[in-house]
Amino acid sequence: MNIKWKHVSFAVLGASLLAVTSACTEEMETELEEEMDDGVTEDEGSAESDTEDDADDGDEAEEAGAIQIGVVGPMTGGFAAYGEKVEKGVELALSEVDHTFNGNEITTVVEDSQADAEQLMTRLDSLRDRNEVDIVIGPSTGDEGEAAASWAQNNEDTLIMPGYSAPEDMTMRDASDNLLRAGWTGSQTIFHFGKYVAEEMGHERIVMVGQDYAYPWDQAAGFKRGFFENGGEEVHTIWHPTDTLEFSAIMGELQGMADEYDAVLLNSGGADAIAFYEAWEQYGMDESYPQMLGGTNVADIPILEEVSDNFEGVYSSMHYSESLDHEENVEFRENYAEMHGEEADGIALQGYDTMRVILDALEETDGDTSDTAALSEAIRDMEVGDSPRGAFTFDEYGHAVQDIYIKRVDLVDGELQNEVVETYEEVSQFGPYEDYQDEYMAQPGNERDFPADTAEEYFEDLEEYFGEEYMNELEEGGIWE
Amino acid sequence: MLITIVNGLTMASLLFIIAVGLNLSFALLRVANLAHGAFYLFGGYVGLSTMNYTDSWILAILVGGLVTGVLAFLLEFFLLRKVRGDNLRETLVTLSVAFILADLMIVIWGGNPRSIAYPEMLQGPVHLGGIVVPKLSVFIFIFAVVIGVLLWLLLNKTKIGMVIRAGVDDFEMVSALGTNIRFVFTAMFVVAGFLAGIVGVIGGSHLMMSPGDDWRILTYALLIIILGGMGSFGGSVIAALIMGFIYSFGSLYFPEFQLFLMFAPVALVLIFRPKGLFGRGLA
Repeated sequence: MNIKWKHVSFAVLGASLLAVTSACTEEMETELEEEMDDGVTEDEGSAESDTEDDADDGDEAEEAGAIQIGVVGPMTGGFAAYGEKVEKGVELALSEVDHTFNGNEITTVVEDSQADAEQLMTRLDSLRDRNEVDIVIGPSTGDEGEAAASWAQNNEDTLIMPGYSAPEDMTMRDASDNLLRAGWTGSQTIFHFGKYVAEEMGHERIVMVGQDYAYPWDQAAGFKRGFFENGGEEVHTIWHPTDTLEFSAIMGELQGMADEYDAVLLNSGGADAIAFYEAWEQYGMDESYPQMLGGTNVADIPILEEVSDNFEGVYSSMHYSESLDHEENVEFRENYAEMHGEEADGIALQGYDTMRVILDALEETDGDTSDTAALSEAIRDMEVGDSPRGAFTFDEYGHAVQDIYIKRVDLVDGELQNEVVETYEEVSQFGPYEDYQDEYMAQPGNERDFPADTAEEYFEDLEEYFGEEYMNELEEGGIWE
Repeated sequence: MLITIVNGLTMASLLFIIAVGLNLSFALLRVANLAHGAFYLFGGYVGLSTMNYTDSWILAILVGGLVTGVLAFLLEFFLLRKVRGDNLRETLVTLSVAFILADLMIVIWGGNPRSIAYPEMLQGPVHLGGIVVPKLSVFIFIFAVVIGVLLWLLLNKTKIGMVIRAGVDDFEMVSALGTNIRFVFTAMFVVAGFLAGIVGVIGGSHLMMSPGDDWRILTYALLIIILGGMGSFGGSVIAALIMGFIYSFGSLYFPEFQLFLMFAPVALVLIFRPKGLFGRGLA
């Protein structure tokens, strides 16, 4: 064997060794932190402070009447913002009640899932077994969300409320009583955007560039439904792997088809969205496509902070806009900025709302966290009237029914901001298919090529799955009222 | 088609500057510096902060490169020298530094993706004989050529270069002939770090930066070294070109097989030419 390859094998060996070591250290760190947290609880909560470190903290917490809530999500890595911001929102909600409930302290145990489904399972198990928490807020990304749904089905005694995860099946085909979501699904926020683009903006043919995984598929599906059922003709989809560094090739492709299509919809988020827009500007794409549209995560504040002012004019849709001017939102943004030194956005909002929903539900059970069924029922019956996003309720599957805002990015005082241009009220996760839930769920799940790319094929499928009755109602204009 | 070739050239230019420094220091020190990707990202972030404070892109590139160079010096002088000669420990040291840096960067610059603003002069496209090319791509290509030529001159036309080339072949002999080989090691390591830093700033402007990019870049650089051959300057050029074209054509025609396409030639080379396309191997 050549010496050189010894180096390489050493490197590989070293890498795996260190990976193991670092995993262990992380474990130790979290444990240490928790022990420190415990210390505080014990000092304040109970006089009979146990000197043994290995004391079972869950039991102690219950004895003292203290409440522990698990927060799990990506806290490091490329998706860190989606976990961190949820946690910051939770902290804000807790600080508003001084971290107490009926005089008992509320603490959080934060776990890092690294946006990885496997990690998430381990973290959830350890929250359940080691910390004995009954309520978990999280996770935040798509793959994690699907894993959490199956974990929830096997752990009926733990209440899970996702932080920012959006796969629709979590509260639809894989729904369980103990998983409730004060959040959104990939399709829910974008059904009506499709309608808006077709009807109000008058586009007929769209190119959609998206990351090739479940969440953008959900978004594409929701958009196509709204778009085709309201007059759109074609959505040409270009899928690329996540973590694409370089969009030059796609820019070249887009330029070649500029004559045939009216606008580009960027169905992506995070680093990829920024990289896409960098390339967009480098190639002067505004000349070929005057209008750019965005998926729900594209006009996110962290992205608006990174792109140039030319981003003005991008349309997107979401269940929240930072520019909503009712009192609750203004206050929420001020308090959040004061506490964390950064702008609040939809992710932070969801952490905040979820924590407040849990606090309200605890009122119903007198602070008893172990009665998951009672908590779940209390949440399903809840009408939240004072959320920064506007009022919302929960449907029978435990998912939020809320207003969806069509937003345009505007330059206000030198800063890019999302202005609301249209509001669609009380949209459920089934969107316009509220009366056709069974038909909707009987279709195959959303895939990269389902629903179809052209109106013609789309309507064939639609008739097959939804039946003639639906088609007639659609024609009479009864569906999208 | 033409546009894809241009894209490939740009990507190849970036990859070349990243890989060539790593390759030379690898060949000379016999240490696979696994912190090289972290150096790249660190340089980028330092450039980002410099850009925000001074608004000068040139300064950002310089400061990014210099700070990373200093970091490379610290790593070599205070850590690697302590474990010289023990391959496993050397590699582990660089790997630990990579992890520490990665976490530090998250603490300092946060986990959100960032990008570096660059001068208006380089923004937007330029029309070259019927195809649209971003000005920045043209700049990156020219920059890589300049760096490449300078390095080639340094290696082949100067006495320092002679020592380095001799060191790659047999550093014990060079040392025995009275050259302070330790100094040459350090210098080469610092130059590699400097190059990683400046590419970090340029890459951070052309693409964007987010945690995790360090490992991605390191993988590409290692692939280029394996493909081109350890210690081979020409090999780095050719391998970077191959990887650049695979990247640009792959992401256009077979986006879902991109990683496969990048690793396949490396696997083939490992089977049929284990020393790399242009590597001479070691005695």
